[in-house]
Amino acid sequence: MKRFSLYLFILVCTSSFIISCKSDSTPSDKKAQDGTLHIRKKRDAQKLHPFLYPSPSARDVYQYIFPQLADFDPETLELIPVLIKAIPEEIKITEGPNSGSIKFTIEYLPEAKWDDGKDVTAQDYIFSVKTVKNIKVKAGGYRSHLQFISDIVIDPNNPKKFDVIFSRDYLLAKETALTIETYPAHIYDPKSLTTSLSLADAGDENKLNEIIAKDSTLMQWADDMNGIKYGREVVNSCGPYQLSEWVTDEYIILDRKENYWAKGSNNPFLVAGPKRIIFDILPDETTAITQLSEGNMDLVPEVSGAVFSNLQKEENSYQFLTPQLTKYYMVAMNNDSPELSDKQVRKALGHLLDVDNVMKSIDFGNGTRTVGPIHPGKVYYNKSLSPISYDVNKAKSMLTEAGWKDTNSDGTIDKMIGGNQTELELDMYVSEGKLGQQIALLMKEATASAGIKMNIIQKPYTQIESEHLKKKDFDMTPMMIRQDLVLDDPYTRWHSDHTKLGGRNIFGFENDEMDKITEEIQISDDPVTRNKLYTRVQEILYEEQPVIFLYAPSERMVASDKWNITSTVRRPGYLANTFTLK
Amino acid sequence: MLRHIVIRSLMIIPTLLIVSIVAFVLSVSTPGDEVDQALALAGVTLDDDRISVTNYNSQYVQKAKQLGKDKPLFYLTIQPNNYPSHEEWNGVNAYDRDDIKRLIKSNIPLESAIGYIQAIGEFENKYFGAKDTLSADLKIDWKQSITLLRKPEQLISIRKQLIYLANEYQDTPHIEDIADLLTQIPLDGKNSTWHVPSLRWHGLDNQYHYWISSFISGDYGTSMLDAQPVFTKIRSAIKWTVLLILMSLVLSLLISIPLSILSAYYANSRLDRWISGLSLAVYSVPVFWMATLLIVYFTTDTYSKWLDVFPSPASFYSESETGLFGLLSKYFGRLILPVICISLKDIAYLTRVIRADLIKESTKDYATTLKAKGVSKWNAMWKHILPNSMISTITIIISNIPLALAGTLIIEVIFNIPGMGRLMYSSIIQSDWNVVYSILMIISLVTVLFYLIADVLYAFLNPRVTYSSDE
Repeated sequence: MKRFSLYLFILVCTSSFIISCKSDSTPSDKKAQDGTLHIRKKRDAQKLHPFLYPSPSARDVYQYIFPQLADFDPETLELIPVLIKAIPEEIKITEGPNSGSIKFTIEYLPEAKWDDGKDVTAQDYIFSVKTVKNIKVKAGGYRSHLQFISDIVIDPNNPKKFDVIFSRDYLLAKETALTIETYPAHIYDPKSLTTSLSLADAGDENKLNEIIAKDSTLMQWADDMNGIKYGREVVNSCGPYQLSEWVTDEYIILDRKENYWAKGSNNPFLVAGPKRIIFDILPDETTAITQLSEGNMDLVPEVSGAVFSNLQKEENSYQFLTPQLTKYYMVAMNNDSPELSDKQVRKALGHLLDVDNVMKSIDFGNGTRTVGPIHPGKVYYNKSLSPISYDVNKAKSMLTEAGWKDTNSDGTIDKMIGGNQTELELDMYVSEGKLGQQIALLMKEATASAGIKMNIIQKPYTQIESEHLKKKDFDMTPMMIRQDLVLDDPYTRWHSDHTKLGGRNIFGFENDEMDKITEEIQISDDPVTRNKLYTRVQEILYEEQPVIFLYAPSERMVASDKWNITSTVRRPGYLANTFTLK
Repeated sequence: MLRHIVIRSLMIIPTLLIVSIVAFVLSVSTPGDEVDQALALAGVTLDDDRISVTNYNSQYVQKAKQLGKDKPLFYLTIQPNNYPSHEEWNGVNAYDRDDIKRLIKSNIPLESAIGYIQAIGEFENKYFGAKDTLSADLKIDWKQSITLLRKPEQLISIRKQLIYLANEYQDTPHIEDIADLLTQIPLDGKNSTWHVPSLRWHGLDNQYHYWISSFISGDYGTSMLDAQPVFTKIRSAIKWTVLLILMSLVLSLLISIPLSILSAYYANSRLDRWISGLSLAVYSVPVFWMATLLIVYFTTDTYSKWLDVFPSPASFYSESETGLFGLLSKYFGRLILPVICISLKDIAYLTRVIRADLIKESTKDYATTLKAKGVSKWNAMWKHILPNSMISTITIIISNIPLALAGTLIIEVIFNIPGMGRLMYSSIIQSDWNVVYSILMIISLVTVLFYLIADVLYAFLNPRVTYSSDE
């Protein structure tokens, strides 16, 4: 009996201890009053190194550490200066060795300083561009944006002023020059190993290899840039926050810089509202929502449609935010496939997808139908075009008009194409995502009623991309396209030059007028003319229907009522440094 | 006994080797080309206008060499004898490899397959060179031909398409290219020839050998996501998992032993039936569902203030919880609900097992003697029958530890515990295969080690168990 009593005693003690753990030592309201903002993150940031652009998840964190020279105003979405005095105008160079090029004269704010008090100068900008261009640095994703920067010339009288020269004029030159993060050269290259390296040599693999063969320290520096040294250990720039602590897969803490050079600034990217921003890495949604209800979490982004809808129905004091992010969904089609090369077939397929139903089931109706690749929130979105309606009968008559009939009575319509009796049988590749599954199921049912046989093939997206999309060995596949706030450049995705294997025009779409317009957009300086061209691009795509455009989903965020929070179209949908306590 | 331990220890080696081979095969079979991914990080993609296919291929070969991916996969390969050797394969343009592989599967010899793919490439280049001068219809037909040509399984369609093109566009200046192509394409259809398997030996200079050698020497590589050494990531995660398993083990023993005694003491009574029924019910509930229910009902006051008993799963960040009690509260407090979740299943299982053993032991002669000597049933159960019946229980517990290790995966994800399970989960989601396969190897190692310990311990605790070698 004694032994049993001992057991009971242990159990009672343990239970008491567990229950005592429940009482949080810091009440949730007190946490907010301290100025600590808790944001849920689904996954870790991997590296806080903008040039390596590890993931959008990393950008959500490092944007408060590494401000860009200019950024898009969260409200007006216009490009506004951040670290510089003013947005420069494009200047065409007509004389000298750079004749035919364009340049932008940029000047850093005189007060802009690094954490150690040193000035942010043109040398830091050169170092940053050189780092991205350096073939040995894994900045491939970033590098292609800077490919036309041919030279940077510092003003001899002002170390903060410089000209950025582009070898050719193109649409996004200004944004390219200004939306780059600046790294402090003296911290990221303390031994000045890259100082003597020219911009051209940094981007030339052979030259770089020659230099490295003579002195391997440059390679060691590149390895450090690619590794944890400059991705986790040294994270430093001139933003309003600094990295204080980072425990992998647990949390990332950013602290407000107390003697910040831009203290008191109204610039939304230099404001430092919360004293401390803690990104809690919580992969499970239930956990995140429980934390919110306990008062331990202030903002939960990326909430699933069902949970968001349930929370809205409950009695609570949360803030519900649904900013429309710059992304959209589409069903890609292979226009080179014999069956889909006929635009009537493509258009008929557009009528066979109940997009509103997809939007309702995936995003609980939070989204906006779109007619083309331009985001509905942009000024040059063509509002005169109405979304394709779900109409099975119309689709059937379009297919009949195009000559598709079930001649062999096998239940699938067919037609002679290129000497072959071709059945209208399409392969739709879907990944494990909910969107693809839902689209595939809805389309399979609707297409069957129109006499089209649809085969649904499920594979991981990476496999679909490498084995089918890049090889153009597919008929249809649902896709999500992320966009930027910069001007749209339809050249890479819709010009026929990019239809070759490996190119971004995976749809194989070719149209002479589209080629001409996309080339014109690239060099168009006049916004009015450019907007007209954008309108025409949308009209052509609407008429040709090379893909089925679905809708631009809205982000779903739930926040506590302790903070004044404004959502924005700018990813990730909020700017944490602008939050203020109520 | 010692000989048995040595033999069982040696048997770990082939087991681990098999696991390592499976892990390696999985690592090379996962979608996505590591060389291509490395090139993309360095800015070399075919997407880029400045990168030609030829340039891409040369960079691919260079990168493959740098990563050791130009070596044979294993010590030996067994392939159909028409399949190209490793050296021949390295000479093929990386971008065309999948297409050539498909042709070879259709029984087309390597040289013809390469020639065929090159012909398509040239045909496509000619299209891009001439497309501005072509009629809209010819453009469509030509492009369709290119698409068809890349599908060698549709040889009959290709033949028809090309004949159609040649007839339809007789006056077009580019049509001779199509006619040329007709002569180059092996259009005889598929042969169904059987091929003799050929065995090729590659020696130690192979990818698996380098991979396993690094693993044995403790070099697990670096994470592809954040460049941290895999060892560092595993080291920081393993402490959580071990803590979780140990705590759940203690809790499940603390509860299952008294429960099973009660159950055995009152065998076949209403109480026994209730305990048995409840154990079965708990054992049947999926862990992830139980975890979600426990979080929803017992960590917030949404349903009742009285139910808000446990701390909610959260980030382990805490600025105020310092000192011994603070730390205990931080860790134990956060871990207790997941521990309960894991333990519930173990409690249910162990209660059933120990109860059965206790009942079996109580029918033995010594139990009857105890009764005859006047020892109370309760005392006999606690002091004499329980220790004897624990022999098999201990081995069950130890051999359950590897299962618990695997079982913590979903619990760690739901309760946000940065342990091995969550690390494995996030690494799989983000294709960080270096981490995934290292964890897989470690779990395998732990599993075989614990089975060995359970085996040896059973023999040690129960002298009646002997091994053939000891006889």
